[in-house]
Amino acid sequence: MASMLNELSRRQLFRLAAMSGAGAPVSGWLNTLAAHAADESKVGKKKHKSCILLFMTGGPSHLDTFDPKPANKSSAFKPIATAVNGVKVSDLLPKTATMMKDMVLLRGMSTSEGSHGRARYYMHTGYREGVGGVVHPSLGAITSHFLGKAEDDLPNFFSIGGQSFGAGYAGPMHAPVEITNPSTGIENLKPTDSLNALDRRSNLLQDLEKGFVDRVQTSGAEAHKATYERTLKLMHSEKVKAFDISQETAATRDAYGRTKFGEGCLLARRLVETGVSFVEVTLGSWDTHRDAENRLKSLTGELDPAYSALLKDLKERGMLDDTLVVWMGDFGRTPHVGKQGGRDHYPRAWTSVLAGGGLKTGQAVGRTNDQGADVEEGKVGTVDFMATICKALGINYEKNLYAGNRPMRVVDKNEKVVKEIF
Amino acid sequence: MSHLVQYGTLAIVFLAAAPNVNAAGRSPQAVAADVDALIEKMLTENKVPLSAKADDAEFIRRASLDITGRIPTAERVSAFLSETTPNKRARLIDELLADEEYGEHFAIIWYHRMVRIDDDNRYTVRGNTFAGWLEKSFNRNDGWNKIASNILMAQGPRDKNPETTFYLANVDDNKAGFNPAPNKITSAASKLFLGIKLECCECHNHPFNTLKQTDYWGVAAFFDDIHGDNTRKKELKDGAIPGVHEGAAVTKKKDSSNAPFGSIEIPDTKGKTVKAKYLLGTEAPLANHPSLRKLFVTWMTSPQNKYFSQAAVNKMWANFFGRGIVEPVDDIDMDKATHPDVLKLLSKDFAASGYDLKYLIRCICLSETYQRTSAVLPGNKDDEKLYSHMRAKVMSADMLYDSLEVVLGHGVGTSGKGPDVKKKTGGGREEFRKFFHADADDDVGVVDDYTHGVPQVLRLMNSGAISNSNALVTRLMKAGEPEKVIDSMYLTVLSRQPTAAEVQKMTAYAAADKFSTKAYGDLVWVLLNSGEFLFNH
Repeated sequence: MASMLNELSRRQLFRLAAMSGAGAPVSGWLNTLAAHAADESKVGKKKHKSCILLFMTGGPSHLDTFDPKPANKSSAFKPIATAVNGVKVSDLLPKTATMMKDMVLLRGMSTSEGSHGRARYYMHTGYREGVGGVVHPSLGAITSHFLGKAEDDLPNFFSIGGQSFGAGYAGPMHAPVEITNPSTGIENLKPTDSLNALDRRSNLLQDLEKGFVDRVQTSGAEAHKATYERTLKLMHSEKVKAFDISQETAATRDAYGRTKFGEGCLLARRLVETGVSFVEVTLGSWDTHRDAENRLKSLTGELDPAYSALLKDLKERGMLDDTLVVWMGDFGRTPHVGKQGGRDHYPRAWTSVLAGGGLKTGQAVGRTNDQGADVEEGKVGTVDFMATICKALGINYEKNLYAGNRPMRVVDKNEKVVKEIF
Repeated sequence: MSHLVQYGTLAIVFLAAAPNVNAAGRSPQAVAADVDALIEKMLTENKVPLSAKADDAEFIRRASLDITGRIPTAERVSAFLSETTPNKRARLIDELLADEEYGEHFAIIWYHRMVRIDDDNRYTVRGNTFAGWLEKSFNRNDGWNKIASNILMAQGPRDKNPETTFYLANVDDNKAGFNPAPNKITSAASKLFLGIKLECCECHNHPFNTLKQTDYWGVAAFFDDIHGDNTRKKELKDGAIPGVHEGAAVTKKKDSSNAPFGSIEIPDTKGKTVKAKYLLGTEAPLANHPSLRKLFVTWMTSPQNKYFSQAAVNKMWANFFGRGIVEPVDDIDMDKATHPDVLKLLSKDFAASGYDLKYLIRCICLSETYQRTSAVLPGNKDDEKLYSHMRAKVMSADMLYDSLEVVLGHGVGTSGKGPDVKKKTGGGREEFRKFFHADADDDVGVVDDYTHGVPQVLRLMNSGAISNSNALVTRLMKAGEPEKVIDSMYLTVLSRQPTAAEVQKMTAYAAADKFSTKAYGDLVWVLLNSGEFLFNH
């Protein structure tokens, strides 16, 4: 019984998506778009949380960023004070240090996957790759599913500067829209000629298309039609202005930094401001087996201004309480120097950071030993971490998504939420 | 035989196209007829009406996509539509199977099923020529048992023995270099060749059926004596050609193990070992230290092993119908088969044919079940499993890439050569595949769902490469009158002739822009963005 319902609901989902935004029979896509624009102006600001995930691909050294250990002689960097008494960070992050009151350091991360591919998958989905033979949805897809709405103009999961992970069994509507370069925006967003010319073509297309969906009546054909409608809506939407960061003042752009990551964070703020529920921005590579000192300086040189500017900007715009900013990587790095002179992979103890989201910030939760090698207090595994994020976003992580007929909990069982931050 | 009597003067032509019979004396037509009978019986029992037969245009497009991986050219469609020979569909199937693009198409499908890039195999498979080897095997029509056997018995350096790539794609990193990993090989081989998803059992007993962890490791034991050659990361980075062999490790044994020959230690169990054991069968005979994997291959391809032919048939069926007789395709549970009799019948005839893949394809494509139209009737529109009509399938990323190239005359990807299959190595294929989410489908090898989102549609609608139809339009406009141009356009893009209403609408559109090149370019755009183009129906 349950399986039949689930199968039905997937087809129905596509039908609903196709019909979304049209109370009356669709007489023309452009008429629908016009009607929709009228509706949108009536609807008030959406009351849901959003998430910005700053993903440090390669695995950043925790010792040299958020968990400095003076007793560990291998670090080239010194601890500095932050805006929170008793909490210190590396001297590579001076600007970020000033925003500590809005941040929570989770210093007890312990996540057991030490190979890049598997670790990234685990940290993005909360499940180990290959388990159950399914592709699990990324945190962005989960957020899009629970917090986004089918009739939103913009898709609800964007990935800037990196690939993120896909929607898996959450379905194609929640796949990430990839933006390779924040200063150029979404690829192919503009027609090759003009919006008017495009409308002429798409009117003819719609006219000729009617026959096909009626002829074959598959959920795929309906999904195709729905996606075209959604894409045209996006192309006509006022909201595409969000992709144009040149609309920001020079001062703002300078504060974030004119780097790919800095501009990515700025774009993320604009997208969240427009109502997008999840944006991931990638910075890398932090995989410093060699030449660690120089590379860390360069990477934090990008990270520090952008991260602090983002938090400050969100705060000043009154957005910080509703926006959870997550900072994480594949894993941490070895507290001792590795064979190649830098640090190697280290999932056993590392630090992730949460900011905003209405959490009890201005603290460090969890602690490693004086070398930064083992978690002494406040261990947080990947599943615990995912549950904590879901809770912060208002997502019920005990609910099920479905891989075919198979129920899959949003977050795997035996989770332990980090209580101290709520 | 009755065909010879009926079409007397055409007998010679017909014989030339006559497909083979298998060892049981069964022709593909006979098998197809039996399949049809079983399918129709179930439709009648369920009171579901049958849709009509597909017309010629529908058939040639579908068969070309399913067998050679791309739409047919306008010329081929035109010729086929005007042919009057009574058995033209059978001859078309033969022609498609004889085309080297048949081998390329299935080589690409199987290559991606067998070589899934992960952190460990990136170096050992780089530069491999496995897809080319698969293509030759398919075009020579090697029996599937021979192909599987060649792959699982592969040894030597990879450049001379491309089929070693399968082992080199399933390696683990240990101190002695990358080494074929029994667990990875077991998961892959059981899924690909036996249609059994054993991977859950690596760590615990299967949650949904009776397979146990010891069953998994019993199979893994057959693959515990295969070793990599020249597989140190540094060697590979310096350009060394890797290889594999079975038998005494040339380099130091990877880790100390208590397991005697023919047994394997289960990780994380404090030394528990399992003897090599045929899946759901007996322990393997180990006298005289035989080649362990040879024992497995012999068992796997023996006529008594129904898993082997069933798995092949189920996957082939899924290729043509968009779903297996059992779903999921890689995990055959007969209780879930929609038509267990059809699966058993086809498996039996396939085995009796010597696991002849082209024979199997004929059995499928000659059936009325395969040749039914994709147009639904009110009474059968909700049927997804009974084959009352052909369900429209999404084109795979490779099919889309190749079909766009047929239409536009140029490739539409931006970077990355494909696996080394002659024609299909066109620049940009890899980027295109990734963009259109081929990776997710490769595991199963059957495009199951519509997975395109906003970025994919934006690309189809607005990218320069796909919008560049100048070469095509210039050629089409040579036909002169708008009606002729549009007719030719439909044959090229949608592989059929337009209806009168379509001609009228399209002419009106082009007239409004004085029948300019731009106007005709717009019409091509409309057809390329239509569901009718994007779907295989």
